[in-house]
Amino acid sequence: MRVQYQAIGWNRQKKIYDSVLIAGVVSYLAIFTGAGFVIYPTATAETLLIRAFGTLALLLLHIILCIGPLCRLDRRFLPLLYNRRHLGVTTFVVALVHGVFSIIQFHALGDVSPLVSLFISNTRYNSLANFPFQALGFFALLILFAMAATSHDFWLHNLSAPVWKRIHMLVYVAYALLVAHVILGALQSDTNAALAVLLGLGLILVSVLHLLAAAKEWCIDNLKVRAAEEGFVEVCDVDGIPEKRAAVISLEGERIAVFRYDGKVSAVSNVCRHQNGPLGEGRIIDGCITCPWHGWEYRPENGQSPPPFQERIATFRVCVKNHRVLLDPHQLPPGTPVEPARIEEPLHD
Amino acid sequence: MIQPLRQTHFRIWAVLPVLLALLFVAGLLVRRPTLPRNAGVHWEKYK
Repeated sequence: MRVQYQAIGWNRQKKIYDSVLIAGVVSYLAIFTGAGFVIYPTATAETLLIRAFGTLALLLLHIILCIGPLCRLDRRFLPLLYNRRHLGVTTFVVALVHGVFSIIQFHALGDVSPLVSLFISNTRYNSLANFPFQALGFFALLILFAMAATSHDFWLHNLSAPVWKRIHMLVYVAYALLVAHVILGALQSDTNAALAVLLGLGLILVSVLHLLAAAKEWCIDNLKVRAAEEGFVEVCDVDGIPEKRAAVISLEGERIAVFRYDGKVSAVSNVCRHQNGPLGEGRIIDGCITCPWHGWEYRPENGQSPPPFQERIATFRVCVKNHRVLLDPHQLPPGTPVEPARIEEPLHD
Repeated sequence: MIQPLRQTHFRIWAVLPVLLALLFVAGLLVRRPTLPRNAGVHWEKYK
């Protein structure tokens, strides 16, 4: 969380993340090309590099698509989400190298522009086996470029969160285009069954993870609450909320995070102002609710970010009776201070 | 995530796996034979 924009707000976690990422990319390329030279001694270096960068881009995109649902299913994967944008930019760069090498290799020696050649050299759009698959990869690359170019918080702020989210949900279109690019391209000419098996497993893994995460979200959205007095609803038992953490409930489609801390209970919107991150899956650190995605902070008693930050989230009136948390489902304007409910101590003889 | 986004995600992942699985199977079914007709000829010898 910063007041001013920086190209990259480096910290220890990001450095570790990027170091592991670069080491992984270099290792993959070295192992793939090295093994390729041994297994296919007649293959040219250009072909091996095209294949190495292409398969790496596809692998990275699968990892990116798995991170989101994995974090929803198990919070131990949250560190992977923290710097996912660098993973996305790396995927674009790797895919770009694959694309440029391929265009040079297959389209640069003709008498028309390589980009024109990409679209006119094969126009058999009515044939599945001979489909011009390179065009699919080209359009996927354009989407990855748009996402990489707008990945910075500067664009998130200036495009507005809804527009930015729509652009970045195009990753699913890019994924579909890339899978089709591989099925109609490499899979048609490659005798090795490994590519088909790995692609099939990847498709199953990504799909199952997303559907499991969606099922979990559906369960939260359909948790029943009981009406209590004076417009309040009974949402949970206070003992069911771990200290400095939250219970997430859904009321009329609105997710609310009910935090317990220092003998008190406060309720705020579950949606972070940064990227709609789930605040209720974060915890209270140094008196502030800390978003598990990128560390944005809000005070639980008023939904305001600590100075000099100015972000605000909606708050809710809350009270505790007989160790049950009661909540007024009408959200208050973002940043409205609400007196936290005190947890009454159990009576002792 | 907010609810409209969750619903959009769910709709996408209810449809996308089916479409891609169909394409995957169709792609495997129409695979071209990779063995050339003159497989016994090794062109490298004539370089």
